[in-house]
Amino acid sequence: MIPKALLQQLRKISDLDLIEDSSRLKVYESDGLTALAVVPPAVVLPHNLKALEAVLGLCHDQSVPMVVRGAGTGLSGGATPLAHGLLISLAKFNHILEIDAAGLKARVEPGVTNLAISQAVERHGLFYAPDPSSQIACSIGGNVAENSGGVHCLKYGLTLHNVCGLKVLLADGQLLHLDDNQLWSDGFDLLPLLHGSEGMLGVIVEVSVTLLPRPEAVTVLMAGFDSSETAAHAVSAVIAEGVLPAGLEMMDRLAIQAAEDFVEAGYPRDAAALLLCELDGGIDEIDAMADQVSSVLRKAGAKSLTRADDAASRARLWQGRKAAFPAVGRLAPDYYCMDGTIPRRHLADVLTAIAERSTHYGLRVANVFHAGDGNLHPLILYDVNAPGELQLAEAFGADILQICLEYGGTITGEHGVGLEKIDQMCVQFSEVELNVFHAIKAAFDPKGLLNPGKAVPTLNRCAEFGAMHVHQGQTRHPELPRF
Amino acid sequence: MDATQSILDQIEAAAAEGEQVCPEGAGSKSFMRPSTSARVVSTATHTGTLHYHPDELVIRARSGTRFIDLQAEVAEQGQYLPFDPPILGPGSTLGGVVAAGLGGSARPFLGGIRDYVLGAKVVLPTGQVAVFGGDVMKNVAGYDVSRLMVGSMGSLGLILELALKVLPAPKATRVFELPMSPAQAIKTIELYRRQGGLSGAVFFEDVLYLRFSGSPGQVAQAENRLTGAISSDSDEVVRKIQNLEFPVQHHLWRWDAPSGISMEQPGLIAFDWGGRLRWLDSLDPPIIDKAHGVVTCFKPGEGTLNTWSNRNDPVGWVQERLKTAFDPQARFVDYPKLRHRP
Repeated sequence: MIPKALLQQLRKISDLDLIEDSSRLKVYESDGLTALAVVPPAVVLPHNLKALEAVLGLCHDQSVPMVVRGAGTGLSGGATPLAHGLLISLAKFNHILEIDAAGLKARVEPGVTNLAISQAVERHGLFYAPDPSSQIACSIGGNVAENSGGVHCLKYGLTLHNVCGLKVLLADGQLLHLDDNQLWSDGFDLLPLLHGSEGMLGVIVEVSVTLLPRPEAVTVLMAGFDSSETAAHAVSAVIAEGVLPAGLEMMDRLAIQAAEDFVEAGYPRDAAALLLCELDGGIDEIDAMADQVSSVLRKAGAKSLTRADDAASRARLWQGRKAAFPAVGRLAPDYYCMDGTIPRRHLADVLTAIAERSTHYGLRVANVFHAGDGNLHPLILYDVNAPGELQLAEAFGADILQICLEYGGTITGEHGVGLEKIDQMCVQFSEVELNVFHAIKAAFDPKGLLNPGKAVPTLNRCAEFGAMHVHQGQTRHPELPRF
Repeated sequence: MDATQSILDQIEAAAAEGEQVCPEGAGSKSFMRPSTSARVVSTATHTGTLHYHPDELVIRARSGTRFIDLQAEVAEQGQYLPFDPPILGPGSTLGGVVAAGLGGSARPFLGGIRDYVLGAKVVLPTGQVAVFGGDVMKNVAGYDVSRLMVGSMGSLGLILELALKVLPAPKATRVFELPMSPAQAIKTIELYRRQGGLSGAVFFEDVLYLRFSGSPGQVAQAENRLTGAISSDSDEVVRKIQNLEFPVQHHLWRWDAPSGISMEQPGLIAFDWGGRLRWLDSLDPPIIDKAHGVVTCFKPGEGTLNTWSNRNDPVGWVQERLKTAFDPQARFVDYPKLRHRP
C-alpha cells in the first residue's frame, strides 16, 4: 500500500492526474505480458517535468517504490506494477519538441510513439530507423528503456545506435543531461548503460533521436525453402556476398500457414521455411542488388522466389510477417512469445531441440526469426483454461532460453528481462556479474526505489532457483554439446 | 597466446603489495593519462582471434591483439570495422583502442566504438573475471557493461576479450579535395551531410577532404555532385589526419566542440568529424568558453597537460559513484579526469 500522507501530498501537486479508483486502476494492471497482473494502489500521470519532479521528490523522501510506464507494450513484465508502489505513467509526455532536419535529429518527449517520429519527419524525407512490431503504440521512452530492436536493425542498429542524447531524472529528482550535441563522452559513457536499463536507473524524460534520409528505392524478396536449415544457410550466403539487407526475416511452416490463413499475404503454403529479404539503396543500384541476392537465394536452394517493388505489394508481403503473432494467436486460445538470440550457425540444431521440447510438453510452437541477427521468437501455443497448461508453457519457455544459452546465445534479444526472465538471468550470469549489476543500480538509485525486483535477480533468488534445478536432476539436455 | 593467468597473477600481486593497477595495451595512448606510480599490467602478450564467423558479422579476440592485425584479418573476408579508430602506434591493441574510446573520422557518420562492441570479458578491480554482453547482435540481458568499457580508460577493469560487430567493407571509396576556408568548409559539409556514403569530413591546411564510401552507385553520385574536384580512391590523407600524423610546433590541443561553434580560433590547424573535433597548435592553453566544448592537451610522446575540470553535475556524480561501484577499494587507477581536479 501507499502511505495515506503521500496520497494527500500527491493530490496537491498541480498538473498531475491521480488515479485511485479501482476500476480505473485495473487498466494499469499489466504491460504486454498480461499473465503477470498486479493492480497498482495508485497511478499518477504528470503533465510536465515539474509535476514529475515533485512526484519523485515525495516518493524519494518517503522511500516509496515507483514503477514508470510508457505505453505498456513491453513483453517481459518490465512495467508490471508493484502492490506497494506508485505507478507513474508518462503518457502525457507526448510532444515532439524539436525537429532539426539539417542536423538529422529530433528531440522528443518519452511518451511519443515510435511511429509518430517517422511520420513527423516524413516531409523532410527522413525517418527514424528502429521499428519494433508494436511501433504504432510503443513509446520512445520505453524503446530506450528496453533498447528495442525491430525488423530493420540488421542494417540500422538498435535503439542505442539511433539515439544521440537523453535527459533522465534520477530517483532523487536530479537531472542527468547527456548532451545530444557531444560526439564524445567526457567521463564514463552513460548512454549505453541507460539503454536497456528497464526503468531501473532513471526516468527518461527526453530523447534525442538520430534521423536518416529515406532510401531512394526499396524492394522485398520472398523465398520459400523446403527446410529451415536450407533457409538459414541462404541467410549466411546473402551476408557472405557482402550485401547488408535492411531486413532479413524467417518464418517456419506453422507460422507461414497461420499468417496465410489470417491475411493471405501470398506466402508459399507448401514451404517449410520462408525468407523475407528487404533491400534498400539508390534507384540506380537496387535492381542490380535484387538480381545479385535473387541469384544467391536460388543457388542456396530457394524453391520459390517473388520480388515486390511497389509499396502496396511490399506491404502485402510484410503484412504476413507483421501479423504473425496475432495469426498464430488464432491457432490456440493463448500464446507465449519467447525472445532468445543465438549465433545463426546453430539455428538448425536449436530448432531441432525446440521441436523435441515441443513433443515433450505436448505444446505446439511456431517460429518467427529475425534471421539476419539471430533473434528467435518461438511462439508457444497453449490454453490458459486447460489446467496446468500455463505452467507447462512457462516451463517450455524456460527450456528454450536454456537452449539458447547452451548454444552461445542470450536469454533476451530485444524484449528485456523484466520479471519474466529474471530466473534465467541466474543461468546466464554468475554471482560476480550480478553483483556488478546491483552495484550499478545502487550508483544511480542508492535507495533502490525505481522498479525494484525487476531485471536483475537477487543472489538469494538465484540460490533458490539453482536449488530447484538440482532437485530436478543436474543439467537439462545432457544430449546437447556444451560451449 | 593466452596470458590470462599471468595478468591475474600480476593483479593479485599488486593487491598484495598495496599497489594500484594501471591496465595498458601497447602504451601508444599512455599520454592520455597522467604519469602514474601504479603497477602497469600489460595485455600486449594476450593476443589472438578467438573466433570469427564472417557470415554472422562477429569477431571475438583477446585484448592484446594488434588492431591492425584485426583489421587485416577481417579485410581478407571483404569486411571491415567501420569505427576505424585513430591508430597512434603500430602496436596499438584492440583493448587499448576500446579503453581509450577515441573515435575515428567516421564517428559522426558511421558511429563510434561503442556502436560496434557486442561483448567483453573483463578482470574487475576486485580480481574477479566477469563476462558481459555476448557474441550476438541483439542482447539486452543485464546492464550494458561491455559498452560502458568503451572510453573507461582502464579504471573499471582490465579488458581480456572483446566481441565486435563487423560489416561488409564498402565496395568503393573516393576522397575529394576542396580548397577553402574553415568557415566555408563547415557550410560545404552541411550540403553533403545527407548525401549517402559520406564517411569522413576532414580539414587540413585550407583543404576540405570529403570521403565517400559505400556502393559504387553512392560514390558515383557524389562524383556527379563534385565534378571538377581533385579526387583519389585512396583515403590515406584522411587517415593521416585521423592518426595525428601532422607536424605540431608547440602543443597539440584537442577541442571537442558542439556543432555551430565558430572556427575563428588562434592556432586551429585541422579539424575532423565535420568540424566537431578540432586540433589546435599552441603553446598556451587555448581560451575556450565552457559552452563551446572541452579542450585537453593531446600530444603523443609528451605528458598530457590537462585542463579538464571534473564535471560538477549529476552526470559527474554518477560517474564517480560508478567508479566506486566497480572498484570500492580503489585498486585500479582512477579515470584521468576524476584524478585531475583543478
